[in-house]
Amino acid sequence: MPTKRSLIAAALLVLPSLAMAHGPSRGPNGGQMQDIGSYHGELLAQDGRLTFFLFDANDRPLSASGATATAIVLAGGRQQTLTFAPRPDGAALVASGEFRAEPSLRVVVQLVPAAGQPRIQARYAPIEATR
Amino acid sequence: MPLRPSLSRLPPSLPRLVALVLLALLLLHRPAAAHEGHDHGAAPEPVSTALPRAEAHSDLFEIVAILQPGGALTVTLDRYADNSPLDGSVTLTLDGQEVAAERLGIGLFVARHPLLERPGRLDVVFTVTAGEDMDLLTATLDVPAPAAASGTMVEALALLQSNIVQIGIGLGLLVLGLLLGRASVRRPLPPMVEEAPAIRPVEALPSGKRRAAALLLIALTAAAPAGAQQALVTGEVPRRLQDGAIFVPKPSQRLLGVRTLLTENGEASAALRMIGTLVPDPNASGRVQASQNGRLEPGDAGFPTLGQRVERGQVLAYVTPTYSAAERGSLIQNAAELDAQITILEARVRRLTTLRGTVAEREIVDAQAELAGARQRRTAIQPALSGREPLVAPVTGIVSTVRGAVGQLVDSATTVVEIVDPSRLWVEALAFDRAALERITGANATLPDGRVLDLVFMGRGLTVRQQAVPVNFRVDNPPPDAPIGISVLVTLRTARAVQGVVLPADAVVRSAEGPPVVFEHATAERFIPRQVRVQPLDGTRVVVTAGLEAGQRVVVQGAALIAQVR
Repeated sequence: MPTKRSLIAAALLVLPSLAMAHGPSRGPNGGQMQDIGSYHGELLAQDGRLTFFLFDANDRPLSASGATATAIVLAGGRQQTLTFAPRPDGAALVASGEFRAEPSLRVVVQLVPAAGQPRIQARYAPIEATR
Repeated sequence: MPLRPSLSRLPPSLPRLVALVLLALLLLHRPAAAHEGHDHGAAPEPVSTALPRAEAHSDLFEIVAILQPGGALTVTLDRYADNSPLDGSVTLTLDGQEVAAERLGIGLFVARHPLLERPGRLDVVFTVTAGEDMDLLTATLDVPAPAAASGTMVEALALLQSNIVQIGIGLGLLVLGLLLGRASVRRPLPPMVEEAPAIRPVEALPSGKRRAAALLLIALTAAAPAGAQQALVTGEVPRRLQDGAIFVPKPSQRLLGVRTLLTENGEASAALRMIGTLVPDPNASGRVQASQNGRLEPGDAGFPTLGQRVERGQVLAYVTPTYSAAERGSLIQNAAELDAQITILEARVRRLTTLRGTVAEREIVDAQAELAGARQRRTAIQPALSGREPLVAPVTGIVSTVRGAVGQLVDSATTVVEIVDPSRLWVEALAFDRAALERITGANATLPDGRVLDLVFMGRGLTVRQQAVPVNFRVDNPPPDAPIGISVLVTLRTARAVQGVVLPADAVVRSAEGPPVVFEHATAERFIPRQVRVQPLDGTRVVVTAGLEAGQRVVVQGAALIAQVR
């Protein structure tokens, strides 16, 4: 147990550095991948619909059941807060609202991975501007 | 409380214990880092003894939130690329509650909320609106536990360290008082009545001191927030960190006017530097010299003064010749002889003209020519006898030097006045690298005060002077106050191209160790010196050929000020 505890302590102490270590990238489902807490999260944005996939630090998919999340969506100069609900297959969280998938879309996902855990958050710019 | 998922299955008391230990570790860790020089790699560690802060950035914005001791959150908004303050509006979302930040100035906001006073990790979402651009930014703020009921944990620790002696004395006196008091109570009543009053003052004194010590403690703890209140916004000072990076709080960056530039790889033509001298254009400058010894007299418009504008042909001064007695004597004799000759010749011409028709026409013409010649000789001798020589401006321009005063005796060939046309200046330089001169594509000159003049290559000499080739340039649009004769730094652009990051010359500063450095704006308040290899490009720009990558933010304004931070 002490080893586990010290491991956790070490993980917590280097956590901020981990957060800075990765940049955004594309996830396996075509969404934007970001670090969220000690996890990785992929956000796929379509018009009016957000899909959120959760991965562990080694990019292995995690079940989204048991996780609760909200999204702060900034689109078209308007800010709204959406609540995610688990997808029936449990592999992802979905939320729907009124917005268009534009490059100016910004989403902040605030996630509680499991009950009793601290809330973590990540910022997404899910639609890349076409260059 | 930060916990990993594996711990959620454990009995509820154990995670709490672990969390407490971790919290304590995290809190104790920060002061430790300040005094032992800990570092966790490249990760930006929170600067110890700084106020709790959070920062976030996107491609457009950079935001820094500083939690002031009073519970107010100061938010600065800047452009990410160049670090210039950005006007707009900021709304915070704290635990789902939207808090509008009050605008204090350009790019400066303050927000207040009860959640900001609650210790623990606080997720903050900033909604930034600046003109057309909107963005969401996230950050996590560690609100410190209120240590000793005031200030922050860190402040309290610092306070303890700085006032350790006073607090130690206070505590010592407290303990002493307690001991004495306790000892006096426990002791059985003294047999002698006279001793009782002797004890009472002893007891009273420590209790007074005890009260004083307690008061001191209260005063000290109360003083901490009072001192911090003055430190609103600008209280923190920039300083050099253990890892060599420089911590410059955002308010200080605003004061120093720190501006950055996103680096881009580019191509520039290599440059060559040499020292030159600013000289007047030989076709637009001139000297006024006397041709004979004499005494200076002011011209029609007075004696020329410095800075006076003169036209070509204008009489600046006169020189009255001075002669010795022998010279004067022979001159007067010559004049008298000529005068006599002229009188005779005049009479002869009159006589011959009255006899026109009887004498040969040739004789009349000869006599007239003779008279004219004598008169010319007399006229020629006249200025030497009584006249004065006018000193005439050879060119139009400005009087640049005056050597001489009214009444001064000057030798012949003395330069009395120099005239320069300030709109036509040249630079004369010595080039030691003859090969580079073949491929000149452009040139400019840097004045000692930093101004840069464009130059046009005019020509080069063939005779080597001081082992170097003299090169002449014409100055394009010289400033009216250009100091003639001053040394300038001439930068020649050649056709050879170099790859690198083009930066303003001000971005590169000489580090204390010697090599040139630029400051990378690594995170919002952290500047990292980067050693670079630079080549001059022209008077104002340099090209960094090694030490920088594209996409880094480099300080281009205020770098010298950052370099002075100790």
